[in-house]
Amino acid sequence: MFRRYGSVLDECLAALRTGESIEHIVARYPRHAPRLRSALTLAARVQSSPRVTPRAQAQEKSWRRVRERAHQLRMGSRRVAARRASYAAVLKPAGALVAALLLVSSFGGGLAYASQDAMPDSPLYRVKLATEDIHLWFVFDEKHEAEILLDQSNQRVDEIRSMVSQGKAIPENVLGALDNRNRRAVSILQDRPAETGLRARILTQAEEQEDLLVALWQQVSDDARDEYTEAVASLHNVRLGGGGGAALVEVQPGDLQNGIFSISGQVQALGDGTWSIGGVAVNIDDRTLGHGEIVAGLTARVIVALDATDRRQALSLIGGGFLGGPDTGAFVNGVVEEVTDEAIRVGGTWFNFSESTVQTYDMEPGELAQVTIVTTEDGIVAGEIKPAASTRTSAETKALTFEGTIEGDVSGATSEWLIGGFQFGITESTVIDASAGDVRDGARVQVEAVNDRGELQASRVSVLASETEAEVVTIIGSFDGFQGGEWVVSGLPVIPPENDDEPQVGALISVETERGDGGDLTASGFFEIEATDDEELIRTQGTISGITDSQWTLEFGDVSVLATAEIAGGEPGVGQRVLIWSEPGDDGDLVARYVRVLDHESIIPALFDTVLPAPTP
Amino acid sequence: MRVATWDTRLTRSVNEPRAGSPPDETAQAKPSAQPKEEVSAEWELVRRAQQYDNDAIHTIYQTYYPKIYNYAFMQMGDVQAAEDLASDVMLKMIEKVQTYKFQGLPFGAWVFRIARNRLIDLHRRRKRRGEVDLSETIATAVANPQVLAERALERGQIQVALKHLTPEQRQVIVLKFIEGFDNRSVGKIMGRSEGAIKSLQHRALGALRRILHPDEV
Repeated sequence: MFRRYGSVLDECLAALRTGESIEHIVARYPRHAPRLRSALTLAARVQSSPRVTPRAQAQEKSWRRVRERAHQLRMGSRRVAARRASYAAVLKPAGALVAALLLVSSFGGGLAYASQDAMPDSPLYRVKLATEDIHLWFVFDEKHEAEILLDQSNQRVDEIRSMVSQGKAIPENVLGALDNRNRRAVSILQDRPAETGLRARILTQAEEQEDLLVALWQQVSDDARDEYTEAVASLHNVRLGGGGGAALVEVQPGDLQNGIFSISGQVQALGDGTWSIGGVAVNIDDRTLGHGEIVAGLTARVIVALDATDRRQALSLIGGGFLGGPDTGAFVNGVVEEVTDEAIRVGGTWFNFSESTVQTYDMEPGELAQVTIVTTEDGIVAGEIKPAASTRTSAETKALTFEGTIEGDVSGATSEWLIGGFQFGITESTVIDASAGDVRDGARVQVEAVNDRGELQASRVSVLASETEAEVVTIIGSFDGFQGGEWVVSGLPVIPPENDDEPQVGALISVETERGDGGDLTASGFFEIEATDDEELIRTQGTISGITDSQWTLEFGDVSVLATAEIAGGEPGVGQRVLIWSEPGDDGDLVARYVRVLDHESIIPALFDTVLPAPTP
Repeated sequence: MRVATWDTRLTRSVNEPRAGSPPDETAQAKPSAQPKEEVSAEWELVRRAQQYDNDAIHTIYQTYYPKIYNYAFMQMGDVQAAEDLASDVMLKMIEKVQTYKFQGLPFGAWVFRIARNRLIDLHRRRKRRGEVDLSETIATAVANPQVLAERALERGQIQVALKHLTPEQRQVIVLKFIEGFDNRSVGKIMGRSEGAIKSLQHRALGALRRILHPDEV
């Protein structure tokens, strides 16, 4: 079998290190004998070369500095330990008391007791709901009843979160029960305008619940679509009515029949209540929360409902000229290092959970996760946490990042877009970020997608501030090998470059290609981002808010971009979005290996006043 | 003060119970140049250093200061700069030692990665200030590199011979053949894949051979 000389040499060098003689090693490879002998002799000479030794005085002086620093750190460490011990002394009795109360409050037996912890997919769940209703029969104070109903509504939300975190679809029973509790509470409060405290509570609760359900559209079971649209519509109407009052106009469940999606982009007035958001026409009126803040020319993010005819009705407007708070498209994709009840650590950075954090699966340390980052008034928090697909999986579904140009009018269609010569499926779950320009014919876009047995499905489309020629297409994906003399990159065919370099099969690569007249993609070069034997790199996307020497600051913290990092796509600058593959550095920072500059100019110069440092739990 | 040498320390405490997390089995499964008992002993020492045990820190210091000095001198060819860099790396090492987690990567590779990043920063700062890179002055001051390199090797002045290589080739030679790291560790230190290190060592030895023996094909 033919073996490359480099591979043979590596094996021989390993043998040399074990003490085997050069002639003995060389005898195994007569074909390469002269070259090997020369290389091994040289390696042996280098190995036996004496080391340079440091001056004793300098070494001793340096040791004194290190010893002093270690002393300072030791003292600091003890202070922290002492504080922890004092907290424990206070907390342990408190914990025992809580445990005792829990024991005392545990009562009864039988079916009702057994159903207490039943989840929506349990046969006992109906018993649980019925037991709750029976409990309400004995509550004669309507205000107290409304409070209990709102508590029960929150329990339904906890059940939904639990189902989702276990990867289960949300069934109709829990959505129906949630809607039932909310409607009954609202019905009581409609006749009690003086209950301002409860009205405020129901308003806050409705906001949190609607945000959660909107984010979970994909997790709803097919059988539960009606219950879902009913629940979301009634929550939305509670908000329109100010928490108990009747809204003048209402959203109907049918308005949400075909799903919900979000779009960020520049606002333009089209007339008659219709506005263009990043090139997509949307109806914005009294049924849209925050509609009064809309300003033509500024950027906004809009949650849009689709009815049975795909008519787009905006449910809420987030922003009104302020981008950077709700969604900058920033994420961190890497192995989960730690998870607590309050936060998750990925890529060396802690991301706090908030009330609105959506976790579609209970992540464990060691699993690969994607944390979408949201900037709030309290700082950076995790917006969404979901499992991430490894680029190395040999499954038929391949993840890829695709950069190309939109071809044809896409403002009215939501099913398929032609980008860089390939058809991408656009569904209601596709996030469209048009904050840097409209989605239109000729717009340069980055697409996060999966290639599912030849079908390209887009999960996110971001319009780029870029002047790159339409023929240029960049693919970042796994190198699957050859097929008919062509490369296969995440399932897409690419004609190899003229030089004879080739990536390792299974490696994650970035390939720059040019599309020929026949639509074929010809590679002009590639960069191997991650070899198959590398540890999984941390993938991040964000907007640069500062560059100091080799330190780049993004939403989630700093990344060291040393001279060895490969920077592609253009010159980096503040306000531009970048996609970075990094490994953990020595001091907790990320050290970039490959940087893809997405925008050729700053897209949101005003953003950076709002960016806060990443929190620690 | 008791000072354990690296070699004697490696022979003890292999099976001692430890309070900290030991290297996990999955990490052990990956190829490493170190035998298992060495890894275990190293982890024990590092664990003590993470609690700022003075003896452990001193042992690590005595082991790595000369190595980092040697590495820095090979790259820069300047005694003072190499001493400064070794001192900086040792300080950084102690400040960050608690963040080190055993994930199949030897502690030594972690320390060398700090050194390499420091070296890159240093070169970058010098370049920005318009200072001349010392490694370049040595390489270009000689009319006949072949003669100088051969003489340097004969005298054991490997650093002079290495000046004629590219910085990456120089690094792979030092890390692989002088410090004895395996390909995986060298890859981690240099931020490259194992495959890239294999290619790089091949090219580095080839380049050194061409300098020493230009008549050989």
